[in-house]
Parts: sequence; structure tokens; C-alpha cells
Amino acid sequence: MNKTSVDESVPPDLPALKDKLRELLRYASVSRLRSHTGAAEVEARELGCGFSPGRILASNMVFILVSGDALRLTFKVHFNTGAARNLAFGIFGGNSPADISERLSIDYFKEYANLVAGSIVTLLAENGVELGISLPLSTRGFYEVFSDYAEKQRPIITYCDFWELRANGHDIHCSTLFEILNPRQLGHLAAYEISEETGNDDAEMDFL
Amino acid sequence: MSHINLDLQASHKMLMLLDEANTNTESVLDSIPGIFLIVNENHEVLRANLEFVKLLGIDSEDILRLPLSKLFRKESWKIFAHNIKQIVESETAGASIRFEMGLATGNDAGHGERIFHWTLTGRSTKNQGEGRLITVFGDDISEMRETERRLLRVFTSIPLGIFTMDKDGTIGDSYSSYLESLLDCGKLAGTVVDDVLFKPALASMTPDEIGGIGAIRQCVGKSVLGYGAFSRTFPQEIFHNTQTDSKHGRWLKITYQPIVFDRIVEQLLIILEDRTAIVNAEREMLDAALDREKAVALEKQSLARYEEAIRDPLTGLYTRLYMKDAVAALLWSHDHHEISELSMAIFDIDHFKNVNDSHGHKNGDRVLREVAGVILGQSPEIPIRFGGEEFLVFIPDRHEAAFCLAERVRREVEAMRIDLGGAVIQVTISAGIATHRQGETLDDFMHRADQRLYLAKNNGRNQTMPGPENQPGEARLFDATFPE
Repeated sequence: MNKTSVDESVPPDLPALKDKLRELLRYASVSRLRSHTGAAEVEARELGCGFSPGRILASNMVFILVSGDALRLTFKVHFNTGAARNLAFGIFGGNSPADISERLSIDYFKEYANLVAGSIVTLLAENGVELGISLPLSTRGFYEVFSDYAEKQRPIITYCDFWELRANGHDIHCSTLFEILNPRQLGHLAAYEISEETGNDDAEMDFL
Repeated sequence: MSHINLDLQASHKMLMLLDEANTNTESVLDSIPGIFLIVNENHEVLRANLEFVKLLGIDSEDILRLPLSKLFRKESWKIFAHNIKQIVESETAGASIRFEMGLATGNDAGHGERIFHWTLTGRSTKNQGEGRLITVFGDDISEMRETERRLLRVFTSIPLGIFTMDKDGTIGDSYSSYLESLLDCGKLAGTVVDDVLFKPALASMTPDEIGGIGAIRQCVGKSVLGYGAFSRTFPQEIFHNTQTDSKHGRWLKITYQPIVFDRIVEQLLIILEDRTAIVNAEREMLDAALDREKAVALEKQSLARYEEAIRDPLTGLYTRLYMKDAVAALLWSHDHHEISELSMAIFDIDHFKNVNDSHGHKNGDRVLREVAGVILGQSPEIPIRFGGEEFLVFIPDRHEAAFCLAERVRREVEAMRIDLGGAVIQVTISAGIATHRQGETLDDFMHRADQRLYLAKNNGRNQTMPGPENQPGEARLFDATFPE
């Protein structure tokens, strides 16, 4: 993996940077779900027009923090236990999805959040952006109501993204709160193109 | 390892603790008894406890965004939604509304409805996606209400009037449908107790009882310590009559029970018992007892008069009046073989007219009493003064027994000396004996005895003449064998 040095003298194209970060997160979520579920196809979709940030998307939620000097990402996976059991059943096996305990199904998505976060860390590390990953935390989907998705430009650039994924006929939702702490360190990301090689990168992550 | 990684490592430990704490907190929320919900301002369920999921019998997956309106009947939901709107629109933080409402737990909203006591509380949390949040607590009070209904049915079915009197002297709660009937008043709530209970009874109340009416109202609102002094003057039983005719009135026994809060008599529980039937029954029993006493007195009086009528006041013997009743029974018994023999002796004092003429009627009466005393001394069955100086004796025995009795009387009279205050006289008596023949009338029976008496008189008096069945020789035989 080649690491790129960051040129902070280039003024950032913020809209392009925001879109690129969205793209990276969505890409990571799709690619990791494909590998985590073994699904041949994972479809990413926009949420319905009736959606507003803060709306509860599912009965359960796992979130993980990806944090560095330049960027902070709060990635959330919103899922219902039924979908989680079915997707986990594809990996863990057993007699039926009903035999998958709620605990195990939650752990399954904690691991998924880890994979997505790890993927992002890898992608950004290639671009010279150092990030760390927290432990994934699970809670009821209800607590989404306490999230603050208001877009801000200062002191920290804050924005969000919401999308839906479908794998093996089961839907889950993802959301990310982006907090850009130092745009100049990220300015070069706007031109970054994800290669096929990068997409298949299942390299070992440095989980802490 | 960079300082970032070290920081994250420390944070990981904290997150693990938070994760565990969160799991425990969620478990506590799931276990909240009754119904616990968090709903948004569009009435969608966002969070529910396990009891709610169990109550509805649906999958926990289906709880999120369950429309709350589905749980209520249309009319109930209008009220529930209105209350939620009140909370959402309230500017007061933590605004709360409490109310009771049925929850349709079955498929059919009209059936299986259970009464809950609801508490809606507004949360300060509000976001673009869900709007204002409301917590909903529901306590199932259907069993409590059912118990209340059963108790109320008991109250309303017993023949008592039960109600509470408030501080202002009006009827608060009525616990008996019988009360309206008792007080002959259709609308009781808010009515002044004095007007409906005591006013129609004033006519039959004593001044002390009327004074006690005021004490009933005065004791409410005062310390329970002084209640005893008030209660002693309360009217205990009244004749309640709303009609002009007294037969429509009711006797009401009144019981008072103070309802005390913080040592103050807040209300009076008043219990009315209709004692009309009991009072009427007691009166009827009293009247019956008086009637019985009168009847007994009348019977005694009648008996005394009868006794007077059948007893000769001079001699103490029975009169002819009694003879007809008593001897008729004897004759019937003999005719029907209940007694084997029936005999009679008829006595007549010899030359009694001379006694009257010589010594006066008063002394004549004295002689009659003395002779009667001799007859009574023989304890015959039925001794009778037949008239004047003539006496009869009936005995349920053979001719010989009658003859012997007559002879004992005759001899005793003969031996008797009567002091008439200056003159001592001796009298004799004659007697005739007859034995009853079955089917024979009293007159015929007496006639035959009288014939024997006549023979005794003609034969020289002071003797007993046996019946014709007994020859003169036999008469002598009796005479000869008569014990001294």
C-alpha cells in the first residue's frame, strides 16, 4: 500500500471533499457488507423522500467512531433484529435464523461496523490521513432521536449522510456524521479515485 | 503506538463500561411494569417495554412506528390524541396529563378492552425526524375497576341507603340505587341532606332530635376528637314521610360514620336502614299480645261467670244448668260404653218446710248448707242442688255404690246436730236410687230416681230407697251390709 503525503497548501474544494467522503463511506459500507454477508450483490439506495435526519430507522443501532486530527466520523448501522438474525444466520449457520440470539446478531453488526471503519481508515491512510477507531457500541435504535445532524460550517464543518443497503433480501440503514476538523489536510481527497484493487482490499486492520 | 491510539485505547475501556451500562438500562426499561411507551408527536410508538409487546401479542419488530390509534376505539382515540396534542403544544417542560381509558388488547376493538390509567408526559427532546416525544405510562386498573363494580353491585342491591354528606351539607356520593326509593327523591347528587332526609320527618321528631339535625352538619370539617359529643345528639330513627297519608311513610334507622382525613371529619357516611316492615311487625305483635291478654281476661271473666252460673252460691254445689252439660256427657259415655255403669241418688230433706217456718229462711239456708256440706264430703262425681231442698248425685258406678253413698250421707245427716243460735235441731233426709239404662234420657232417668225417693218418703222418710231392680229385701240387705 502506497501512502501519499499531504499537501496542505492546496485550498480545499469543500463540496467535492464532502461528496468524496460520502462516497468513501458508502463504498466501504457496501463492500464490507458484501464480504460480511457473502451476498453476491449489495444494493445501496437513498432513503425515501419522507425521511428527515434524526428519524429512528430501526429497532437497534450500532455505532462506531473513526477519529483523527483532520476528521471525525460517526458511522451508524440501523437494523431490525429480524434482518440481523437472517444475515448473521448466513455466516454463523445453525438450524434457522430464529436460533441466532439477539446478542449474537448485535455482535454481528458490531463486527460489520468495525469492518467499515477499518476500511475507511485504510482508504484514508493511503491518502496520508491518520485515523483511529473506537470500539463499536450498540444500543436501541430509539436513541437516534438524540443525534444532532445539523449542518455547520464552523467551528467544525459538520454534515451527514443516510442510505439504505439491501443484501440477500434484507434491508439495513447506515448513517454517518462527518466532522471535518482540518479541511486543509483533506483537500487532496477530492481527487481520489477508488480503484478496483482498493475495493477488494481485505487487508488486516489495526484494531485497538 | 501514537498518542491517538493511546487515547482511543483508554476510550475503549470506557465504551465497554457504557455498553454494559446501556444494556442494563435497557433491560430495566423493558421490565417496567404496566405499559411504558415513548411516542412521537405523530402518535407512532418508538420504544415500548416487554409487557406492552406481550399484551398486544405482536412481534417486537413490529412495535417501531406502530400507530397508537390502532389500540383504541375511535371515540377513545379522539380523547387520547387530544391529550397528546395538549402535551405537544404545552410550553411547560415535563407537562403531564393523567386520565383513564380502555385499551383494545384483542383484534376487535370492541372486545377485550381493559381499563388503564394513563400518564402522558412531554419530553424536552425534539428533533426534525420525530418531533416532540411523549412518554406514556399505562397502569392496568381493569381488575380494580371490576372489583369496584362488584362492590357497587353489592352496595346497590342491599336494601340500604348509603351516601356521603359533604361539608356543605349536601349529598356527595350515593352508593345505593335504593336510596332514591327510600327518600322518595329522584335526583340526590348535590341535594341538601336536611331537605330530603329530615324535613319530611320533622312532624314525628322530638325537639331534642330536631336539635340533633344541626349537629350532623356542624361536626363535618371539625376535629374527629369532638365527633363523639356531636354524634350523641344525632337522630337515630325517624319516620320519613313525604306524603300526606301517614301509611306511606317509612321508619328509617340512621347510622353515621365519620370519614376522617388528617384527623378532620371530611365527610359523613350515612347509612339508612328501612325498618318499616320490622316496626310494623313489632306493632302487630304488640297488638296481638294485647289481644291475647284481652282474650285471656275475657276467658277468665267468662269462666268466672260460668262458674257463678253453675255453682249454687248458697251451698257450693252445682246448679241445674251445669247438670245438663255434665250429665249429658256422662249419659253419652254410658250410651257409648265408655263407662260401664251410671247411677244417681236423689236426696230430699225431710220436712224442710217446717224448718223454714219454725226457724226462718235464714236458718233454713243454714240447714241447706250443712246438708250440702255432708254431700260434698263424700266427693261424689257431680253433686247438684236441683232446687229447694232437693239434691242429686251422679256417679259412674254400679247401683250398689250409689246406694252406699246415699246411705252414708243419710246417716251422717241424721247424726248431725245443727245449732241455729238458741235451738239445736236434727234433720233427716230421704234418698232414691236409680241406675241408668243405655239410651235412656236424663228426664226418664231422673224420673225413675224421683219415684224411688217418693217411695222412701211414703215409707216413712229417713231412708234410702234402691232402684226397682233391687227388691225391698235387697234394699234391706244393702242396709244390713252397709259399713259403719
